[in-house]
Amino acid sequence: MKGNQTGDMSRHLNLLFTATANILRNKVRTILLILCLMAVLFPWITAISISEGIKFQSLLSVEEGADIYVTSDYFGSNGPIPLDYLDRFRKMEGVVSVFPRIVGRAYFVNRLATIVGILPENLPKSIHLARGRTFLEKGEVMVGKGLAQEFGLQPGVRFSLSINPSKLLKVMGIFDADATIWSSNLILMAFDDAGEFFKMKGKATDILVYTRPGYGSVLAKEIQEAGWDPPLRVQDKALVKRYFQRGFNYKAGVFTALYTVAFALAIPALLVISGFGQTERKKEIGVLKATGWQTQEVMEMVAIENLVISLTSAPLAILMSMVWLKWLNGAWIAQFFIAEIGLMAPFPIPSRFLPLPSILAFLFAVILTMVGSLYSTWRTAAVPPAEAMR
Amino acid sequence: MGKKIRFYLLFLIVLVCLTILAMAWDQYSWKGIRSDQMVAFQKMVGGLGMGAISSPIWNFINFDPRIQSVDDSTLWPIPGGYSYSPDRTATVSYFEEIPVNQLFISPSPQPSPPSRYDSQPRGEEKNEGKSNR
Repeated sequence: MKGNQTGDMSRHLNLLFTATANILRNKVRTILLILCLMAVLFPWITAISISEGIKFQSLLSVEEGADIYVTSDYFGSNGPIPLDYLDRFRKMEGVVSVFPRIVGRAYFVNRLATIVGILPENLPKSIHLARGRTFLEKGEVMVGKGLAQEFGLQPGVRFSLSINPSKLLKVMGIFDADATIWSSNLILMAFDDAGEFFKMKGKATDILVYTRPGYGSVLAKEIQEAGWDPPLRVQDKALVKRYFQRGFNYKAGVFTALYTVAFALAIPALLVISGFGQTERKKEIGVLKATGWQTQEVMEMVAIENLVISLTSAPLAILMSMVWLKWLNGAWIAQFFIAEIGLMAPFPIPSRFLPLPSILAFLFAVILTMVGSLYSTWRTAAVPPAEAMR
Repeated sequence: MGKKIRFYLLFLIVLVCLTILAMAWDQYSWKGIRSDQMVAFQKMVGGLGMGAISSPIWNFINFDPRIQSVDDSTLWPIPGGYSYSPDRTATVSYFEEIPVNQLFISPSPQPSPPSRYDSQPRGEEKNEGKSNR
């Protein structure tokens, strides 16, 4: 029994060595096949890892955000909400704290910037800035690294925007690039300054309600059904998590669709490529059969060849993607997956290389190579050796 | 076994080990991020940003559906048609409006006494006030 097992093992090992020898002998075919597989797998691995990185940051944004977001409902869209509501919400049972916030947008030269106004007491001491300090006085702002880099903004620079030319703003700090991708084009200022800037004093874009654990959805329902005039639009954490789930898991944009097509096209392409040197391969198989090899052994050898090639190309694609994203910060390629960042992102491209996509990449490579070679090998191995060698 | 075969198999083992190690390092580096700048930033702004886009070009919904949960880009440039918003080409995330049921179906009104102008009691003509529930 043991002898049989050892014999089997040595037979498989011999097939592995023969397969490796074949791979090394057909250098051009092997290199072409590995390059093709890398070309197919590399964008997929890159996109999935960027998606996972953004997903991580996005989940953090949901978890660290408020429990309830309240805005006015203006003709079915979100509208500014008066600050009178702050006290009403504060008095509700289960509410821990209530803050107003302004989030708007304005063009900074040709770059669309996100303008955020928060209460100065919400500024944490632990926030780390690349340069300068946080805002303390009226008119002081902090800007994102993307804006600072593009327009050469430094602490001390004063500017105003056409939406309110009389409102003079002064850059006091520049965000650290490590914050998040959404801080890159941000202009952060005090809530009152943002109100003056947008000429909307006494109003917020949304009111953030923080509740005691377990009170979130109950309070959201209570606020929703209180019959305010004008009506309010209420979003609780559960709804925001649904956005998150749908945005990343159910609908991954055009990418999935495009890639399905790319994979589908890669199969016939590899069929052609792996048939590269097919005449020589036919002769090889004929010789093997003439020297006493069984069809099953020939098939096993080809399968091992494919496994070795897949095991070479999938890790190479993963490592290449890792080097491109981590060391080269996704230069040129990241803009296809994160909109509005340009050729060189001003922040570290978030990318996470998880085991499952890597295993899937290897499996894709195995499927592609197997589809491209097993059937043709079986057809060749099934004919008499003399005919195969002809 | 030839020298070249041995070398190639050794290269393969090193390559696989290196990939596994690099992925393990990546996982480890993300573990330390939670307490870092991202949390401080998100706490400060009350949660901002969700999609794979760094500025709210055209429409806020793909930047952060909390800020603008209504996708008004579907209203133009072609009403009811495909949205040409550039954020639709952001390839790894896509947010769309979550439908919220705003329908209230009132219970059927009590039949009121017929007035001298009515030939039939109100609420019985044309199934008025009846829901399809």
